[in-house]
Amino acid sequence: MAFLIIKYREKKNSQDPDDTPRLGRIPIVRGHGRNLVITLSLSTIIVVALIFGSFAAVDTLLTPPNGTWCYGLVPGYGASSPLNPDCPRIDIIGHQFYWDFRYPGPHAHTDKYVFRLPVNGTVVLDVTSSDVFHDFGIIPFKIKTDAVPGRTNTIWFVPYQTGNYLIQCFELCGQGHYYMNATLTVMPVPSFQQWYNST
Amino acid sequence: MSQEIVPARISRWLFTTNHKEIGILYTITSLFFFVAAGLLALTMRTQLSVPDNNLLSPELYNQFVTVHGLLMIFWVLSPFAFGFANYIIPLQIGARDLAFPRLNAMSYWFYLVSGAAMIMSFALGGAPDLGWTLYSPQTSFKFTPTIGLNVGAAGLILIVVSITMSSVNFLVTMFKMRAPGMKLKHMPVFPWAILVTIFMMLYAFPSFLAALLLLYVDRAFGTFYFSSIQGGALLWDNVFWFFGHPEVYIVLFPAIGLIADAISTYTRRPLYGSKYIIGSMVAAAIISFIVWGHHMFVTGIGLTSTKLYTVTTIAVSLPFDVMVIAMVESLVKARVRLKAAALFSLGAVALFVIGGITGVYLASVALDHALRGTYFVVAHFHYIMVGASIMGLIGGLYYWFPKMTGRMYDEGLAKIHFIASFIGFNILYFPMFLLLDMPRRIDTYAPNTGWATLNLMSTVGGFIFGLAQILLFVNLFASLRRGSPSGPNPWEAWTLEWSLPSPPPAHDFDTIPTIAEDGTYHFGNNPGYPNGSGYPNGSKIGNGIAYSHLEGQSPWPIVVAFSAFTFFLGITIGQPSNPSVPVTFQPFWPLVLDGAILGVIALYGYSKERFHVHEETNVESWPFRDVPNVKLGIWTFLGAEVIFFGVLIGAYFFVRTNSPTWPAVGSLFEVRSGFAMTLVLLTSSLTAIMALVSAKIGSRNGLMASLLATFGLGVSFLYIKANEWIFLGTHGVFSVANGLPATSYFITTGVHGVHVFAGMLMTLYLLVNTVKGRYLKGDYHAIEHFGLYWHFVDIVWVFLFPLFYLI
Repeated sequence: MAFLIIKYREKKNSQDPDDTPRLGRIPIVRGHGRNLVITLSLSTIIVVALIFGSFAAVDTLLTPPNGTWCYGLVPGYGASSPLNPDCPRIDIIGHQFYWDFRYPGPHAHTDKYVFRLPVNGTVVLDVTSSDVFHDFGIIPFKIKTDAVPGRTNTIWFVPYQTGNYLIQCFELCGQGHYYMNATLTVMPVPSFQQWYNST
Repeated sequence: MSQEIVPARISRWLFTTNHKEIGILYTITSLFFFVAAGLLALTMRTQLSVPDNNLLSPELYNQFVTVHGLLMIFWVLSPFAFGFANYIIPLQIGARDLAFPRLNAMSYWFYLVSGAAMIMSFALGGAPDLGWTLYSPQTSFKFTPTIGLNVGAAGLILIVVSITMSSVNFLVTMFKMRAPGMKLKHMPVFPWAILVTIFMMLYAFPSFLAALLLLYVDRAFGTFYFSSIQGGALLWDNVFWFFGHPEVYIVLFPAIGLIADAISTYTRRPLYGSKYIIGSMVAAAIISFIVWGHHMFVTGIGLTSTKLYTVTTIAVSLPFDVMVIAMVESLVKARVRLKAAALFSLGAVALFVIGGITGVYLASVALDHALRGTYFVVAHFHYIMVGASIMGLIGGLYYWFPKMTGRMYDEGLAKIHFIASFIGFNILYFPMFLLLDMPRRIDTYAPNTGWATLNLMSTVGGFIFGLAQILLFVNLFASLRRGSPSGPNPWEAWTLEWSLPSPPPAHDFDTIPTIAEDGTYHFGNNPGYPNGSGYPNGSKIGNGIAYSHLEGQSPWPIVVAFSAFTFFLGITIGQPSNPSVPVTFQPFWPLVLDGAILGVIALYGYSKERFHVHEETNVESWPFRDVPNVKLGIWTFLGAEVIFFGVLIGAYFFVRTNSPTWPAVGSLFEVRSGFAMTLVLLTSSLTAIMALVSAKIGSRNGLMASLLATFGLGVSFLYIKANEWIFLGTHGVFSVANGLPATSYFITTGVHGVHVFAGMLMTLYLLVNTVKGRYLKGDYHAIEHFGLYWHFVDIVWVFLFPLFYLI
């Protein structure tokens, strides 16, 4: 575009094009449909590819994976999951302005501020809210879902690396929105089991 | 022939109905709100420039975020564009004013007072502080007990009223008042863009109005449409975004139309593929109503819906692809004059491309999961709304400034303004694309997040962009007095407004031009007018055929707007006496009564005033040739009402299907009384028809009797309704606050009841005039218009009766 502007800019000796519109006459209609159709079809091809790509992504994102991926970490840990009996299912409840992490299983309990998970095991999260709209997101693992009062949104991910990660709220939920954070601690499997059994 | 801008008496501006003066009022007011909202943004940028800053408290920051968004979207972008539309479109289509000049003035005053209400909310216990999307249930009384939100909601309701009146007005004008021979296809792109925008406004805003009404009632009377856990939150999301996505194009399209016309003018060639651009706009407008789900990809709308919205959302990028390509192609073999307006237009196209492509990123669900709620989104929509819309509209300001004032601005200063704005803009928003992990709307952040450098950069850019706008104001203000005279057509453009002196006289055209089959214009019976050469400076137009001068002063529009403002302020500013009760309806009665009484007087004065609107004959008015202006206006208004009731009924369906239990048929309502009301209303439709027939044949007694019967039947309907309400209320099972069945019933039938009541007031007015002997024979139009409205109200009941009583 910059090239075209410079190439066709007005110079002292340049003439008006033959079809310059003038006052007193509606200008002729100009423009080949052909050129537009060509660019349009090119974009359509790209766009259709995008759509199918997205479909694959939608299926992956919204359907928790099969049991083969999951570790049966703790006996009975995720038995209540209808979609996949092997995956640990953890309830996450948004409050103004903190998250509840409810672990299932024999040592069921609720944590705030620190969310512990074993490395390399698929987890399914059921996210909801007790008051207003929140949005639960862990950027390093590219997961995010709204926490909506009255409904549960399910997402899943594999914490593939140990370490500490930031959990943030991505929907303006009130005056404490900016500090509605928590830490995700991904632990080696033995230390996770040790921690879980000691709670 | 440049005229001095005479400092006019204030009353001229207060009471004006001239489209050009109202256009100027719109432009100036929207620039005022632009500065106000811009200052809010700069304060926020300052707060975010360094980590752990405490310039703004979280409360204040959230208010600034919200009001900045609301002001820019509702009070800046659209009104800025409609300032131009008011001024230019009648000139471009060869009309002498809009179809309803007083209604136009009223739209402006509603716009002004609505903005005043929004800004006043800061002083009334805190402005809305939950984002411009006003997500439920945070809007409920429980989470936001301040009255600032009530006042803000009143402001929003008032501006929706303003926008609806405006859209009806423009639609009738553009369909019914084009110069003879001017087909729709002859219109430049800017009027087309406005036309498409109006259609979107007509069908998007009623949805928002219904949502606001339900929200206000929730807050004022403790009902719970949006705060119920049976899907209330999602109901708001759906209704809001059904409006919200078209709204994005509503603020964008006028700028696109303007850019397209400016490109044609400054490239000295006809716009490449203009009909494809217009076609694309229409396509994008239609698709915009079925893409709202993409705002809810991570809200949980199910697999199938997600896929459907992905398809529509990605598809909607194609029409924009056509528009951009056609604009770029226009440059080929052109002779580009890089005036300020051309720079702004071409700059806007470039920024729009960046904004558009990043939009396609967000349409992909996978990326949306990563990017939702981050600064990437903020960057994306600012590239569209500021980069394309504001830059394009500022270009329009430079483009039409000579036409509006008769003076040239300083070209050099304007170019510096462009360069500073363009560079400042990119320093301001580009870093935000890189802040992929920073949540939106946080008021501060920790130093260890790594966001500090980019934020500081963005703030610096913000100040460059903000300070650059001072150049605009200095330039235009100084040029108003000192600019060299511009002459009628400084840009050698072809559209009709440039055939008039700058500024045009009050009546615009001495003689209305006609457009011949071959596309040449003729002014009056002056066929010798040389085509294609443009007017020499200062020449008189046409041959001076007598025209009706539009005096156009009316005090009533501003009074009506002011009384509505007083009334709404009165019902929203009362502090609840008991904070633990979820009911904030504590009207401040002096204001409410003042507003109501003044409103009645003003409306009466408005309808009695002898205000003559000259309707040109022989204008081009396809496809509504045989429909008079007022009737077309009423049909359009009823079209918007259909959406309004559609959303109310849709909301009822939504809460009902989402509720685990619902009272059985017959357990709540007497089917008999519902049946009686249906019968009464249907009979009244019949009497309304009889009234029309009597008026047409000139039978005064028949007219009197039919109107009286209609009135009586309306009263009986309201009487049965009131009894039912009282019965349900006093028997306790059914108070407004005790359940969704009651909430939805009282709201939906209540709104319908208000419509019936308004119909009764109209019949009374008609009756009084009938006694004075009006409406007979050829004068039956008022009766017909009332009939249209009345039948509509009856049809709504025909839907409500089975929905509430029978299923």
